[in-house]
Amino acid sequence: MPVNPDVVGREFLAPEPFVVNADRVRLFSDALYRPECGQRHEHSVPATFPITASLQAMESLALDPEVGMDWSRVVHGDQTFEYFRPLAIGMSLMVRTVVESVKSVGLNEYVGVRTFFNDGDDVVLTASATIVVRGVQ
Amino acid sequence: MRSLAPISFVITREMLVEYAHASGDQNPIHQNEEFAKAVGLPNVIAHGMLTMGLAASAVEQWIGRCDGIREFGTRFSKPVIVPAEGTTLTFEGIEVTQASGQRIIEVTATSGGIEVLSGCRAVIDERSN
Repeated sequence: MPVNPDVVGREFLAPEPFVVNADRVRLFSDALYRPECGQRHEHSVPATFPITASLQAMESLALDPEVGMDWSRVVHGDQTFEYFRPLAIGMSLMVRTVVESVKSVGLNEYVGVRTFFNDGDDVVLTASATIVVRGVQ
Repeated sequence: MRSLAPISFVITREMLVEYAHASGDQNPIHQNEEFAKAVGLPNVIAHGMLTMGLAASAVEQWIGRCDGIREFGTRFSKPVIVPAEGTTLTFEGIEVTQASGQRIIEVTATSGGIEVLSGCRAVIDERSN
């Protein structure tokens, strides 16, 4: 079943805020071999840390039956993080994911998704991704 | 424009488990060899986001800062295959200063002789903290 093209513009608001929790940051930082940053700059948050929220948001959006995405055939095509201000330990952000585009190329479908991380009205960062739904041959 | 010294990471199955726990991505293709092969992969593969995260760690080492990345993006061109004995992931970088003064680092990532990322690029934050 192909991805429903009418989902462009569909939004998903995460039910829980994304909390930049010190323990979770440390766990993530250790998994990414940042020993010096973990010790000397404990406040620093790895640039890819927001994936811990945006991947889940993308999966929730994909599993929406009206979206029609087969998660078992999904491949992560690309990912970008754009920061308008730095993430800080203790921030609690609202996470909103929007489907920006759906495109078919051959047997594959490419779904462009952008996740906004907001502190009140301020966008702290956006995480953009292309999800590739591999066609069955 | 200047070339940056290559940075290598050893990627083990244990690292994949640790990253799965830290990121919340417990997809068995990153941990279970039988499962990975059953879905058509040559072996267990690393999370694309692990490769991207390590690329960011390499950028941090090159710029000597833990909070200097303002924008970071990549395409995932090939998976990093992780056999039971592990593998090596090597990052090389080129630093470019644009006419505006903005510093960009372009990163290539190689594992098993294959380039696994394309268009990997970091924009460096010039604000001092």
